[in-house]
Amino acid sequence: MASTGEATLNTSHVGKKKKIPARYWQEQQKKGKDETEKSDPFPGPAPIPQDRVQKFKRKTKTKRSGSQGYKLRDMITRSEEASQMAQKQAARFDLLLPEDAGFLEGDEDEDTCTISQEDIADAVDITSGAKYFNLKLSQFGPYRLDYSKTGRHLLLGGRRGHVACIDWQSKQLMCEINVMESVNDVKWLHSEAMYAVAQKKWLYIYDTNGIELHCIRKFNDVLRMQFLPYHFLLATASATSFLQYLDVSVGKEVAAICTKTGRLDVMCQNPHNAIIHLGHHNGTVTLWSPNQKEALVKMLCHQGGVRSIAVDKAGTYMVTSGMDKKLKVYDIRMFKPLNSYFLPAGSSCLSLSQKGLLSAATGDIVQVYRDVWSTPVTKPYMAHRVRGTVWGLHFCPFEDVLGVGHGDGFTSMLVPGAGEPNFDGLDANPYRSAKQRQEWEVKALLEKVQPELISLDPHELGQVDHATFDQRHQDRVQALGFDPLAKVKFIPKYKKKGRSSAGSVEKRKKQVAHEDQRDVIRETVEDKMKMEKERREREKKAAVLSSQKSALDRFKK
Amino acid sequence: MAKVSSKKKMSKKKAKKSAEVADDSAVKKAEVVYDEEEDEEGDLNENVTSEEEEEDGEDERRRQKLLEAISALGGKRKRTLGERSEAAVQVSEFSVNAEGEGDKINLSDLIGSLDKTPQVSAKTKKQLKTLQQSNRTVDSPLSKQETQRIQRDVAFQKAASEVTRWKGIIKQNQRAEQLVFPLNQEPSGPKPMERVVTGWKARTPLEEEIFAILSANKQPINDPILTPQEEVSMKAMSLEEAKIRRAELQKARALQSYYEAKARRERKIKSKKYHKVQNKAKRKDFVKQFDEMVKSDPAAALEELNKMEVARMQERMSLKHQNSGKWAKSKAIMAKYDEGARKAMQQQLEVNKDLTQKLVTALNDEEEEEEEEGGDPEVLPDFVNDAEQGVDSSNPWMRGKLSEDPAEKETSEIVDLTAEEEPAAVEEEEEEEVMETEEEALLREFDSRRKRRQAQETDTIPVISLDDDDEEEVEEQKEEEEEEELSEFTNLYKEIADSRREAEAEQAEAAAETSSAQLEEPLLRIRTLEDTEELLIQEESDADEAPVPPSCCRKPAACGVNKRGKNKKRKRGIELKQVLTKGAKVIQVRSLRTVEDGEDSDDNQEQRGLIREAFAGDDVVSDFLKDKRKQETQGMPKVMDLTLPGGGGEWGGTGLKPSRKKRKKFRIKVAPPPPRKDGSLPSVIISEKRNRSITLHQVNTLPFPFETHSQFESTIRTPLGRTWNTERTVKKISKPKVVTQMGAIIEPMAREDLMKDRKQATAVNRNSVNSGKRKR
Repeated sequence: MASTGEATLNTSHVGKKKKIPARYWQEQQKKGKDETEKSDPFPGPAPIPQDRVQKFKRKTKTKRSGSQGYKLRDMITRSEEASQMAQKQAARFDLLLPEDAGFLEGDEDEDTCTISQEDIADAVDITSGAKYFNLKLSQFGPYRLDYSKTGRHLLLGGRRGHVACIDWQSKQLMCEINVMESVNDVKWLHSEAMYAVAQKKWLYIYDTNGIELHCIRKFNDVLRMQFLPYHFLLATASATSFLQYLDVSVGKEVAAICTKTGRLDVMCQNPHNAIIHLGHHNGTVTLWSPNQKEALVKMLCHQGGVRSIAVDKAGTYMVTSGMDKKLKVYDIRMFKPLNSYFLPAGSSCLSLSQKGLLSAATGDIVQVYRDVWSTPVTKPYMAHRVRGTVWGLHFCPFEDVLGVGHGDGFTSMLVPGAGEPNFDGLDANPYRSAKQRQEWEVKALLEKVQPELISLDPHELGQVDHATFDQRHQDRVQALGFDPLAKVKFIPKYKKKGRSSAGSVEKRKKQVAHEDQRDVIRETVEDKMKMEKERREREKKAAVLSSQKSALDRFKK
Repeated sequence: MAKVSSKKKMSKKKAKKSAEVADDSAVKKAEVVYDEEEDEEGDLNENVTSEEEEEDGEDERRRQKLLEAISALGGKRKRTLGERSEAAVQVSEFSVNAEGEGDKINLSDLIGSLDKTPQVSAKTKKQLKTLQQSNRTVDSPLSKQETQRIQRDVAFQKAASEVTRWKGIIKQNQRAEQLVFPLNQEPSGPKPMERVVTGWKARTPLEEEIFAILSANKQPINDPILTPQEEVSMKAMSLEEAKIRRAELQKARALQSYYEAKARRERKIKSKKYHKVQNKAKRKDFVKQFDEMVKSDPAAALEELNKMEVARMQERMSLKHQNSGKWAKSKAIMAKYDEGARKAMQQQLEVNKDLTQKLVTALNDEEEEEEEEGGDPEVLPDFVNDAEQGVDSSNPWMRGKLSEDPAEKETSEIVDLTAEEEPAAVEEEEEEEVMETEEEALLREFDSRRKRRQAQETDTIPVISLDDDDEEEVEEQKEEEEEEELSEFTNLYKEIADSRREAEAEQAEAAAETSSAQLEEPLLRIRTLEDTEELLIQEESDADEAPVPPSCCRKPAACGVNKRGKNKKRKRGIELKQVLTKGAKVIQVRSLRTVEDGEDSDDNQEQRGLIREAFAGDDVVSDFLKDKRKQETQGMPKVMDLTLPGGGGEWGGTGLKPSRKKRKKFRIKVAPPPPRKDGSLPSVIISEKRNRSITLHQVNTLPFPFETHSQFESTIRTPLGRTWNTERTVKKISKPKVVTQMGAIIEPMAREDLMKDRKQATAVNRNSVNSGKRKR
């Protein structure tokens, strides 16, 4: 009956398999395989240069201790894998930053500092050449200046009240006003839509049309300003020795610190950890965060007063110049001096570019130095003389341009190799449209870093707080202003008719004290009773467990 | 072992107890002996037992005497022990008697008397004999609580082992980085394993062996890459599977057609005898099946039983086969003279009897039989069992013995029942039993037999036709009846057959499933192989990258750093030269152009600078140092001085200081604070205050699995966001722990999955071994 079926099955199972007719794609595949076998001398993923991998390393991993639970082991290995992958991927994708920084090279035995701006502007392409220009504004000078974060916009503030913002690459004037007051400093806020002007008395905020948005009366006599872009904080240093922080996203003053060090006219920020550096007349530089009322660090840098400070992008080096005509380079992570230079005339303004070029202004001469920290420098990289004494210096981000504000207006210098050639389109895109800017603004606001997180070591947040309970309690007490766990002292009520005599008051106090004591005693007694009861029960249980019931138990008494 | 030994002890104890009981019974025995030997005395004794409450002292004495006499008859002179003498008035014969304590009483002693009593049945005697032969004492059954406890223990262990089987997979799932539900997804897309395997031949003996095994198990070996259509069809159902299924279907269809044909043929057969035999066989078959059903599916069996009962009731209510019909009456008239008519009537009555006979089944008798427990292979009359029951309640030995092996008895009972049912048809039994083994075989056999019989009946039929010309009606009637019966049976039969077929189909399905599982297996293995290879590649790449020594990216820019901080630890003062005018390099500034309005000439500036250098500075440094010292002293903890003036034999008063010793004694020194961060930096003051604001955002207790701070810190050192990572990394880092497919039904994990996983694991191992080998 079923034998036929079985027979067929048998043949299908046991017999040799029919060869599937050769297919065209198989051959192709074979060919391809052969080719790849022959032609691929580098199997596997492309190797990544070690130095590039090292560049993206984040801390070393900890050594494994002896016994770990599987959960911990899994977690650690997984995070390790992830970080390794992140590192490698980042190193791989570093390839996508193709641009190199420019440089200036002179002929044989020709100093680069002797090459004039005109020569450079002639030599480079037209668009770059157009970036060298002078604005002759002798009426309201000397000028302070600021570039926006993207490097697209320039803000000029003349001492005598002239404020102008320019799209400097297209040389398009966005607005020009005279505030009819002396202007101490100007600063772009988070975007090119708003800027702050430190005027004679108050701090003002204008928009790009020159409309006054705010007059902030809390900030008076501001001399210098810094804007912390990731915290949306405007830090101001005033003539009354106040360091104040304004949160521009909510318009609130975050902190006002009295530094008690006199007039504060030297200020800069560390872009790495958002710490504000202040220079003082007694040659010290102090480091500040909005969270602490006293200086985090106080360093003695110069014999005379400090004239200018600059910190590099990575937060590694600080360059200061003082009245003693010195230019000093510090490793700001270690607070150790690295190099010290003597400038015959001293320098009034300092600025560090994204690529680490240092510009120093001595009188009316602007000098640019290269590699001030690693090797002792004997001569400048570039030099340029402007028409008046220099009042403000600023490297333009993402451009090989140094803006110089001086007594006779503004000069835009070409400094090859100054700017970062690869910009991060999501962070600061010089070519962004208005729409993109709006998008960015929202995102930046969402990712705003709270001012509480500013500290000397930005990695501190990732560390476990080792503080003890007492310490934490102390912190709490300090924060609240009172001890929430403390007992309220009993103050006897005043009673009339002679019942508030010293004796009766004392008696009442005693009563209360006794009552308290009684409570304490009662509690302890209760605790003891409870413990005793528990112990007895435990014993009983143990006894029951230990002694099996026997027939003779009934005779026990 | 310990348990066993304890049990033995128990049994010994019991033996002792039984010995005590035996003492009791010794009295009885004595009585019995006495009964046998002296009848009058026995009467007396009976009197004693009956009237012991009234008469006391004298009777006792007489009894004692009697006993002594009896013991004297036994030959051995035994030491009589003093009787227990209590204040009680009456001492019954059942009271503790220490007489004859020394020797044990055997069962044989008791049974000896049994032989002589005629009213005891043979069976009981036999049982007692068997008891006697088995020497060992039987343990008393455990108490209900104990048995229940043991059962619970066993059940728990069983359940625990069942549950622990899942442990591995559960753990694996818990530890998995990501779980995708539904869990058992079939891998889509091509199977690269085959591609890997192509162009590779078995060379070593091990490989050849493996391939031999593979080919023996019908696993795909060489290049089974399929066209898309084939793939689709494969996904739907594999070829072999389809073939198997088709074959099964064919078989089923063929069988059905055979059955149908046969049924048609059989319906046409007019032989009465054939149908009779057929029916009988069917009935027997049905009964057997019914018995089986009783065991396997009692509920259905009960239903069947009810049906049968109803049929019987109907039969009993109706007058169908009672010889009361018209035909029967006419036949009754004829019966006097006609042999055939008589026979026909008898047959009808027989049918009636058959139909009204109560069906005895195991289902009905189960309860009774369990109580009976008397199962011997021989058929026993009921009263024996009853008697035994009476014995059982009192006699612990017998009970213990009989409860030992109920399984055997059940089988024997079943045999009994079948034997009871068919006492007559012994000759056919053998044949029919053979037939019962398999219905198809039976049917086939019947076919062949029918042919043979047809050949035989060709002779007999004409005789019948000659005999009953006028009885055609009767025959028809009977045929109808029989057909009714037959239809009933066929229905039943069909049901049974259907159920069987279903079972077969299920089996076939299961087989198909297993085959499909087998088919799936290579796919799974392929995937895993691929995975392992990828892993291997990764590992290799890791290995490639690992050995490169970690070189520092940037040496600490030490060229300009003076090592002052290192070699002078405790130096407090600042050396002005080193700090402030340390190796300052003079930079020559060449002014490129002379500007007309340049006010300050270089010389002028230099002069001014020199003057300032000369004058400025000193106070700045000293101020700074003062500041620093102040900070340090503020940070230092203060020494607590608890000395009180005077006391202890010392003078007190104004201007008097307590002695140095005392001051030393009562001064509490505080542990020095940790070294200041700016200890080695003379020109720097670093604030030692805690940053309170950030502590609110910091983790202050170590999360669960971590043991040290550094472990935790290292796991969170890498940022997760898109700002710092490439897209792929972000996706990998932020992989959700559980992924569920939209609309997919998530079934609970089945046992098959467990098995599959295990297989997979083994397959993976094998593959990895293989691949490793290949790599080499």
